[in-house]
Amino acid sequence: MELRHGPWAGASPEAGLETLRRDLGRALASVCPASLADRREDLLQVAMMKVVELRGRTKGQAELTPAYLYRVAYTTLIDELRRLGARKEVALEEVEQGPQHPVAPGDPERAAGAAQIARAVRDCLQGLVRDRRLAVTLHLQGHTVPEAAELLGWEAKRTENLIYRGLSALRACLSLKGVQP
Amino acid sequence: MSDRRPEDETLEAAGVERLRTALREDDAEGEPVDADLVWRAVRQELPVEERRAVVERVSADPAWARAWRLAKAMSRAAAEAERGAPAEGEVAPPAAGEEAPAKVVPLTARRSWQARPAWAAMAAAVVVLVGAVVVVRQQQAREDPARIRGGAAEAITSQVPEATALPREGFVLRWSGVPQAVSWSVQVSSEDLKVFHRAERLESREYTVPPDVLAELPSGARVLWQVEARLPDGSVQRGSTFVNRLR
Repeated sequence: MELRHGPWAGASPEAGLETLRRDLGRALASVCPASLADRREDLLQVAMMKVVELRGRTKGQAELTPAYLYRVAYTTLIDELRRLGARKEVALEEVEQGPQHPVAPGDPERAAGAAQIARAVRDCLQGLVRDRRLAVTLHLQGHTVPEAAELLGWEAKRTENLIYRGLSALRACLSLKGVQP
Repeated sequence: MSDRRPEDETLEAAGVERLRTALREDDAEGEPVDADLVWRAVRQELPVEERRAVVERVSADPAWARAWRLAKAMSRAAAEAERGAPAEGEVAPPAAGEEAPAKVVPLTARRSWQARPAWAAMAAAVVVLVGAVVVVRQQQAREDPARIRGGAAEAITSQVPEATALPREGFVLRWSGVPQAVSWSVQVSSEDLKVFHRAERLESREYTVPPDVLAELPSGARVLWQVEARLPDGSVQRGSTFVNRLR
């Protein structure tokens, strides 16, 4: 099988797989909650096995682009995360009353607090006007203003204003819920 | 766009970052995610209104939000893999929406270029040549039918001649195509388009319709069947509807 583009071009298929494995590891580290930290290696392994299996099955029949393989790895991870979620026994601790503060990753003692804050953010987002909600959602997902504007099909200036006003409303709503970001 | 950042007066940057951390640390389960839909939204392969609909789900559901973050990270990594990751010591290309830093060329270097028009002409020729090669390769890629680009795939074809009447005890459906499929579903309908049987997660390109589900159909009835291929990326490719008579 030939992989034509980027670091895959001219490199052995194994080198392309190494790049994919590295990128998967980074994506998992930046996306997965700390509670799944001990499962990251398993998740990575399952996704890589799927990719290798797919490449073996299509050998000589089709050329798989990196974009396609990355997508396969991504969907495999989503399936695995869903499977883990279905098996997980949740034992949420009661959270103290009063203002809460978001926690740093890997702080198991306050993970339940993070979950409550996340829930409060989601509740408050639902109370925003739709366009503000969409713009702030992408901002909280880590998108820049130009990226959010492009994804939502709006002018950058309008998107920036929506984020600005949306964040203001979000802060007010969170304060009412006792959450001080 | 102004220099003002959204969080300057409403939520300080650190506050936004803390909220992002809380969202990331939230391992609440949420609704089942249509991973393929999220991927296509992130890659802007969906119309804008459908992208907005996906972002709505992301705003309300932790599982969809997680999928969005993963799709965003993997999509960026895929794009870098496609165009070539920077070698060690090189500067990574800017992500979408970021401005590339201006490259500072020392004055001596600029003078050196200005003083050598022949070099500049050769460089221009090389650029044109590289451009031509890239265009030709892109055309070759477009013409290559075996090349898989998510979604584009070979059609599903019936291997049962349409005129063939099949017996109740051996109503065997066969099909071909979509070599990358990981499993198959078959939907069987009567002539009035009422679906009366469905089989999921088949591993071979063949399925025998159980005789009991055909029991109520009269001899000579037209049976409509449609096959769906489940692709490795989770998406589904539907075939045409085929028709065979019941003997």
